[in-house]
Amino acid sequence: MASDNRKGKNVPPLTDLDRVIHEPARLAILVHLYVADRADFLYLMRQTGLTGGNLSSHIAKLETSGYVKVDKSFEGKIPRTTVQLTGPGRSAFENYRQAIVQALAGSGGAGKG
Amino acid sequence: MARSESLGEFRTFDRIAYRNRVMDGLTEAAVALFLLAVALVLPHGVFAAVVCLFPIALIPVLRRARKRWADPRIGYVEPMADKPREILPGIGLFMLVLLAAAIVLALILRGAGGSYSVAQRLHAWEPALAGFGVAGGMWYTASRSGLRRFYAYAVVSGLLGLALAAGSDLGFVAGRRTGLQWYLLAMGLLLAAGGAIVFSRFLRRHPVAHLEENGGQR
Repeated sequence: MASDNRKGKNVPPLTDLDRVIHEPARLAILVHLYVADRADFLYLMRQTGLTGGNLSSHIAKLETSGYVKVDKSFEGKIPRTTVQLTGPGRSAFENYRQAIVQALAGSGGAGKG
Repeated sequence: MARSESLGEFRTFDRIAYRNRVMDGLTEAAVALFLLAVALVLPHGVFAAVVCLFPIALIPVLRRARKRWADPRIGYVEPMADKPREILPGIGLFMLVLLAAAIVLALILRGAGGSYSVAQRLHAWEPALAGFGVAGGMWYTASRSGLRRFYAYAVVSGLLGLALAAGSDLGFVAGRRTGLQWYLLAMGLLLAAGGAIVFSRFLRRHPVAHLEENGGQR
C-alpha cells in the first residue's frame, strides 16, 4: 500500500483537474473545437448531441473562462454563432489532456500492483 | 508531419470535421469545373495564366455554395488547415517522383524503338502526370475524411491517365484533341456526374435544420 502511494507521488491528483473542462458536455465541445479552426452552433449541436439551450449555456461558461471566442453575426435574418478555441483555451485543454492521461496511467499502475 | 496527422487520439474528431466539409459533393463538382475549364482553354495559348486564376476564382464560389446549401443543413466547421510548409515538401516529392517515372518510362520506350523524341514521349505521357496529380489530391481527401468515394476517384483518375497516356504514345489517341484534353474532359465529366449524384443525395438526407430546434440560431 505504501509503495502504491509512493508510485503515485508524481501523478497529479484527479481532484486538481480543470473543472470547467472536466464537465462532459464542455469536454465534448472542446474536443470538437480542438481539431478545428472554428465551428458554428449547428455543427456543435449535431456532433455533441446537446440541445440548443444546453449548448448555449456551456458555450457561455467556456467563454467566461476565456477558453473560447464567440462571434455572433446575422445571415439575412438568421443569427449565426461561430465558436473558436482561444490560445489559453487550447493550452488549458492540452494541460487537462496531459493531466488526465497521467492520472489514469498512475491509478492503473497502482491497481495492478 | 502534417498538422492534421499530429493529432494522435483526436484523429477521429479531425476526420469528423473534415468529412463534414467534403461530404456534400460540392468539392468534386468544383474540381470538375476546374478540369473542364482547363480542357476548354488548353488549345488556346493563354493556358498557364488562366489556369492559375481558376482555383482563385473557384474558392469563393465553393464557399458561397456551401454557405447556401450545406451549412444550414449540417453546420459549418473549418477543419485545421495543414501548414503549407509541412505539406509542400511531400507534394513536391510526389511530383518529382512522377516526373522521374515519366522520364524513365519515356527513355525505356525510346529504347524500345520508334522515331519519337523524349519531348514527344513526355508530351504523350501528360495524361498520366495529370491523372496521378489529381489522384494524389483525391487520395489525401479520402484518407483525411474517410470517404471511400474519393479513393475510387483517385484510382479511376490514375488508371484513366495511364490508359490515355499509353494510348497517346501508341498512336491510338489521335485527332483534334490530345490525350491530356481527353483526360481532362473525361475526368471532369465523371467528377461532375459523381458530384451531382452525391449532392442531390446530400440534400435529400439532410433537410435544413429548424431554427426552433437550435435555440433560434445557427
